[in-house]
Amino acid sequence: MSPVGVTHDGVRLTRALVVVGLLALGSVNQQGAALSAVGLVGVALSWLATHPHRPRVWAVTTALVAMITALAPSLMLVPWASAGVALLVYLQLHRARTGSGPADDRVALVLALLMLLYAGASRRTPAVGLALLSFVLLAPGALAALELRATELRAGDARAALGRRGLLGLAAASTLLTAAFFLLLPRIDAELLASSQGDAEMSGFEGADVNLGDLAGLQGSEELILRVRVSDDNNEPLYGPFYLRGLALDWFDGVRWAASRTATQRELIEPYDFGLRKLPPGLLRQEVHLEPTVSAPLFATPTVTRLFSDDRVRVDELNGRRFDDSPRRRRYTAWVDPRLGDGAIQSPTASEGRFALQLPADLDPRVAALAAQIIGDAVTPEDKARRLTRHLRDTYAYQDIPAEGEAGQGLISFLFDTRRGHCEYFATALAVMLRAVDVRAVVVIGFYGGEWNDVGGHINVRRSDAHAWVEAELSPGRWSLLDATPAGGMSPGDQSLLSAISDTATAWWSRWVLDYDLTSQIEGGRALANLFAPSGDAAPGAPAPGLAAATPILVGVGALVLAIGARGAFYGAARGPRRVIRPEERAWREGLAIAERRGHHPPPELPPVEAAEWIIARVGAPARPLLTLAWLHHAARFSATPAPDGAQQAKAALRALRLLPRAVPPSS
Amino acid sequence: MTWRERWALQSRQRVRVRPTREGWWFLLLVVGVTLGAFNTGNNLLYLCLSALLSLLVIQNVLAEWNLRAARLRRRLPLELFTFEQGEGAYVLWSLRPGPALVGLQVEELDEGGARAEVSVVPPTGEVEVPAAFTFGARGWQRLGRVRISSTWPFGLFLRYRELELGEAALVFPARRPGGARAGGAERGAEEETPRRRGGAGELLGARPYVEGDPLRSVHWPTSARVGRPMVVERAGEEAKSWMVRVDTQSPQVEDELARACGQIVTALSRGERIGLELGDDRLSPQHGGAHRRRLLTALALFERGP
Repeated sequence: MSPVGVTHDGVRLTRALVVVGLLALGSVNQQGAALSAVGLVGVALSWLATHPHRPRVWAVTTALVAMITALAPSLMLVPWASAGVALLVYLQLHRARTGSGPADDRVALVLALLMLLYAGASRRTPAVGLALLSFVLLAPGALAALELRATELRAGDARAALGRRGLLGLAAASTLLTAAFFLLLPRIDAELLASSQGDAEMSGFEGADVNLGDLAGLQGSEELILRVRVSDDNNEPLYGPFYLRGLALDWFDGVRWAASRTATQRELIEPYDFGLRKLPPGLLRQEVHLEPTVSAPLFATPTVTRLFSDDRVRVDELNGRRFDDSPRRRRYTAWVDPRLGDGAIQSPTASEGRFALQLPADLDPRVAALAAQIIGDAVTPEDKARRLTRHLRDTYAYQDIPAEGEAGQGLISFLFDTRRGHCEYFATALAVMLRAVDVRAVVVIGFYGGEWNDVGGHINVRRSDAHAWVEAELSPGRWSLLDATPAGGMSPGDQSLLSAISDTATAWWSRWVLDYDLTSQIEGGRALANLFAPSGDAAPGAPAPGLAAATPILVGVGALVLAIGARGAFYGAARGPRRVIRPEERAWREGLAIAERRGHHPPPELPPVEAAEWIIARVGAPARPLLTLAWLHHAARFSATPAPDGAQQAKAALRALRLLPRAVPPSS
Repeated sequence: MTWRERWALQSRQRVRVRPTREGWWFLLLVVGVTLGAFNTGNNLLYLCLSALLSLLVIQNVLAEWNLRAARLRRRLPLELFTFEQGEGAYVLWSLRPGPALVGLQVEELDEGGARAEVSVVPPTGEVEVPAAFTFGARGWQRLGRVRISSTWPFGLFLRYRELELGEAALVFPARRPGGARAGGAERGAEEETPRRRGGAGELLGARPYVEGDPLRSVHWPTSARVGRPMVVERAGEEAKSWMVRVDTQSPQVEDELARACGQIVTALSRGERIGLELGDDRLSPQHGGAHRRRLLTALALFERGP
């Protein structure tokens, strides 16, 4: 590839990175987007404009903007971060307008990097990641091309130094090393200073209390909550829809569902247990990627018999299982026993059923009367539940979000006035009526359905998939899932291809970049150790630490080894072949050594010919062979065509040099 | 060479690194991002840190490669006069068959004051870059350490290496123009009458061109035939003979030497025969390049006795 134009590529690459920095800034928030738009238009105009600029005007303006930006946060006009970002954009504009040399372009690169850093610290989206990747790929080439341009300005044409292939090589090396450092740098979350966790906006499951109607707030959002892949023994995916159980609530005061406060919490003993015990066959495996939440419940289909997670999990015996409170993205794998069957699950949370018959003290007597009327002559809990469920499904209407003025309606209003609502009302009505006819029941909130992603092979569950249902004790000790919500309220669907690809890319980004932490590194290390010394007793289907877990470490080490190898190869090539020392050169050294042994020490800085003349001036003719040796040395060392019989001549001169007299001591 | 001297030499020749102004900012940024990443555990900051560290590594490897593969020697001018720029050169060559060496700057650290920069040295190729050597004293001047440096590839760090290229240059006195009887460098009495060689216009013969012969005396057809510059001597041309005497007892002996040097160079370039009386030494009038060098060397190496 022709090297022509590489020095100009520096300018192009720098401009590309300036645009990338501004775009990354725009992805942070609305203010960033506005500043980014201003910056993009400004730099584009500056690059297109051909009339001479006025640096002095710009310098004065820069000083003013810097002063205002410095004063604004002090006067509490804008936050520090906003002022800093505005200043960054202005400086970028200033540079685009006034600077055109390599040093200016370097400053532009630094400003672009600062914008990327700000974006990376504020948002962790794949778009910011893409911008950072652009920096990794383009920055080395841009810097090298700028340096070439600076060299050209000082010392002449330098295009031959680096072709476009060289630029590609730099990009490849930079990517390789960045990957190595990223994977091998120890993840330390020291939190010595204020730590920004970000991305923990999800709400709805933070506490143990849910007001009637709260779920409507969740259902209005399409934000992704979790991705789940459910597979059977043969690792074949199951498409669902599934009820992903979250919180079980057993206390109802007429307005609010709550978990009993008398529950004790204990830590699950198996968070780091990667299946050292055998699991029975026939379990369903659920791999869940949960987005960050403030206090995350563990979502899974009932009934979880085994759990593998990187995090510590607390068991709240009445409320469910929860992770520790730190908001972060989590991965876990749960095994459930499908043989317990649909409608025959055992509630792991309300097994004691301590509060499963509790009713609000001021419950309208019409509710119990309605329940009694619906069940009629049913005797068994199963019959009672079936009739109540069918009645609610058939005679009440589903409404996703209650109309204005109906939000937060009470149970009585739902049952006797509006006769429409979302799942939470159906679940509450069923649970309360079941309790009114002496059937133990709790309300469960979680997620139902979701979209099947064909590209990623998982189900995407969004906030809008939030759902409430009932678990009831239909026979002693056996709890069943009851869902009274009409089918119109639950419509699992498929994703479009584009959406599925985008979602899979986001999942990949989260899995391999955002979620890569110290635990992943430790897991990778253990997996690596396991490769060399496998334990051999891993559970079937359990995420036994294998090659996949070790991949990051292997890739990182591999990249580092490649880099070190390349460095060694560079040095090997740099050393080049050793220079062959010709006999004439050796003969000169020998001749000089003879002269020195005989007391003739020419000044060390003298080159050979001058040194020989120096000795001849003191000794005379007997030292003449030394001059011959010096000239032979000179010819052998520097001449393109040294004398063919130089070695013989040198040998003869050395023989003649034996007659060299010793130096006369100064005293005599 | 004792082990201490050898260690000192190796230590001097070691490649050293110094951040440029942009390099200091870069390092500051690396420290800031490191603190941010370790404090927050934010993987995007770790990604930024990784990118910055990879830049550091690439910079280090390429710069080291660039500098270690470079070899250097001086090409000193044939004549060096004190306080005058002598147009010499540095010859740089690359031992590396791979990519070219880029942006190498060469600078004399001890004497000579020469510096030069070469943009590109092709792989396993050689580049000669002009450099002006200037000395402040006559005689043997030691040209010692040379610093070879480069900011390649990113301009963030200056990487340099000091090479011990022990060499000596004979520096002639400054050339000071002097009148016929100016200062102590007097144009002495004519030692002999102008010699006449044969009849006017008669061709006496041809001899090889020596430095100091006027260019107009080169006989180009003969030169073309022989393959080297030849000067034709004709009858009727007169060659004046002069002696330049230097007052070696003068307190301003350096001025005397400088004026004598100027006169010798001027006279020889006119084709005159000139000799030198320097203290007890006496060099009879002759002409030609070898004689010129002998005279100038005598002036350069003159040392006044105690």
